[in-house]
Amino acid sequence: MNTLDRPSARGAGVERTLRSLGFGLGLRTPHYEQIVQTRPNVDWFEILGENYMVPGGRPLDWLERIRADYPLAMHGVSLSIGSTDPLDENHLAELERLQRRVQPAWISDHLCWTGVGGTNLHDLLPLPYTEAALSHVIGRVAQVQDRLGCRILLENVSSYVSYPSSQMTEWEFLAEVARQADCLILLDVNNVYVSSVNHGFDALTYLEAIPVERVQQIHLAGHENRGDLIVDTHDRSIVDPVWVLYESARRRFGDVSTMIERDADIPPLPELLTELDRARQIAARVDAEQERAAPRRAA
Amino acid sequence: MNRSGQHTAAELAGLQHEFQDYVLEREPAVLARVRGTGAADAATRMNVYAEGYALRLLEALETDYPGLKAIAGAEHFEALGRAFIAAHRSPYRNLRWYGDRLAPFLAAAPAWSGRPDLADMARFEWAMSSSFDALDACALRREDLARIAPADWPRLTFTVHPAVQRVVLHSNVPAAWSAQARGDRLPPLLQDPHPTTWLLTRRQLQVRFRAMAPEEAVAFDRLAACAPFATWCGELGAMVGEQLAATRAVEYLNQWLAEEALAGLTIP
Repeated sequence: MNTLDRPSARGAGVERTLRSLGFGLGLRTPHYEQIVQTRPNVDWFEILGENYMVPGGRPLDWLERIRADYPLAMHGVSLSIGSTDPLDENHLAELERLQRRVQPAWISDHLCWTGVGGTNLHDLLPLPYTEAALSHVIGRVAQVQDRLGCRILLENVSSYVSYPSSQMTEWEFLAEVARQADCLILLDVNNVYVSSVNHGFDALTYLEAIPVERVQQIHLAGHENRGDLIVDTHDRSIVDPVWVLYESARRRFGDVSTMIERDADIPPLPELLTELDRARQIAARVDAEQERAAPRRAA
Repeated sequence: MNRSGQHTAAELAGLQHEFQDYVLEREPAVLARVRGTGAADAATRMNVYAEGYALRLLEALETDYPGLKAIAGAEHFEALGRAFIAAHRSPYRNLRWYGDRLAPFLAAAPAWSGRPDLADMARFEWAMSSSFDALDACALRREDLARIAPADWPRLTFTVHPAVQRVVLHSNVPAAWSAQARGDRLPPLLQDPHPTTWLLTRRQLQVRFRAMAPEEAVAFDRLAACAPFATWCGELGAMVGEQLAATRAVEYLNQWLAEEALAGLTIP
C-alpha cells in the first residue's frame, strides 16, 4: 500500500488527502511478539523511524512481519526542521531508504529544532515564533517534501519556555507553516494541553485556530505534572483533561487517525488497548452526537 | 533575504546556540531571551531541558550497556555515564550510536582505567550491539563448499558474515554478562594477562558468543583478511603441527559454517 501523495502547488486546493487509518498505537519493542502472535485490535501502528535506521537484524525483521499485517506511519524525532544547521543529508537518505522499505501511509516529524553546530540534543526544542523562523522552516519543509515526494506532517511540541521575541502565537505559527509550506499537521493533543498549562494559554483557542483540512493525525499521551510545570514524559496513562480536549479535537477535526504514544514504563499491551478503546468510545460518542445534530441543523 | 531578514535569521542561529550552551554547559546567556512566567522562572524552565538531556543519554547508555551497569554498580555507572556525556556530545540522529566511544573512554579516563574490566565489558557489549543489527546476509552453507573442486581449494578465500564480531578481552566479562542477563549473581571478575578472542555470531537473529582457541583466532583473522585457504592452513600448521593442520582447518570451517560466520567464497 502506498497512499503517499505529492505536495500540491502552494496554496492550491488543500484537502486531507490521506484517509483516516482509525485508532493506532506506537510500535514498541516489548509488544512485537504479542502483536505478531495475536494480531490485536489495533488499526495501525506508528513507528519511530530512527529505531529502524540500522543495517539489518531483528528490528527490521520484526518491522517487516508487523508491516505485513498492519498499515504503518513513520514518525521521526530528528529531522530538526527548525535548526539553523543545514538539513542532514545522511538522515534524509536514511529516511528515504526506510520510506521505500516500509511504504508508510505518511511520514511525520516535529515542528522544532533538536540541536545546532553538529550536535544533537535528542530533544524537541521550541522555536521562537517569528517571521524569520517561519520563513526558515517553510523553505526547509519544501526541501524535505521534494526529496521524499510527499507532504509531511509536522507535530506541535510540548514546551517549557517561550520567547519574548515571538511575533505570533504557537498556533498561528503552526497554521502558517502548514499553509505556506503546504504540509500537513500531526496535532498532539497532549502537547497542546501541556503547553497550555506551562504557558497559560487556552487550549481550545489553540484547537480552534488550527485549519481542519490540514490535520492528518492526532497524538495522545501521558505526562508528568511536577507542580510548577508539566513535563511531556510519555510514561503514564492519559489524564482526564487530555481526554476532554481530545473530545473537543474530535468534534472539530472529525475522523482523523488517532494514536497513543508510550515511550517509557511501557505497560503490557492490553493496558494500551484499553486506553485505545477509550479513544474509540469518545470518538464514537462525538460522531453520534454530530450525526444526531446534523438533521436538526438541516431542518 | 533583505538586511532585516538576514539579521533575524542570524538571531535565530544565535538563540539556538545560546539555548544549546545552557543545556550542555549551563551558560546563562539564554536566560535573558526566554520568558519566565507563573510558577516557574526562566532557569527552572530551561533546567527541564538541561536535566532531560543528561537523563536521555544516560538511558541510551543503560540500554546498550546493561552488563557494564551490573559490574560497575548503579552509582558508578551513573558517574561514568555522566563523565562520558560531559566529554562527548552526540552528533548522531539515532541514540543507538551514542555509546560507540564508551570503551576507549573508559580505557583512557584516569577515573576508570584502573578497572580494565569496565572497558572490556563496554567493548564486549558494543560488539554485541553491532552484531545484533548488522546487515543481513545469506550464510554460506556446507553444500556451497561441497561444490568446490579439490584443485581450487588452495586459492579459496572467504567472506565473513556482516554480523560477525571479534573482540579481544583480558577478563571474564562475557560470563558476567551472561549472569546479569539471567538475573544470577555475578561471578568474581578475573583479569588474565593472556587475552582471549571472543567470536560473536548471529543465528536466527540471535547473537551468540564463544571464546576461540588462540590458533583458531589466528586462522579466522587470516581468513577474514581474505588470505587463501592454503595460506592460513599453512600458518595453522606452524602452530599446531603440519600433520594436524588440515584436520583442524576442516574442523574450524565446519564450526564456522554451523555458526553462520561465513557469508561467501571466492575462487580467484
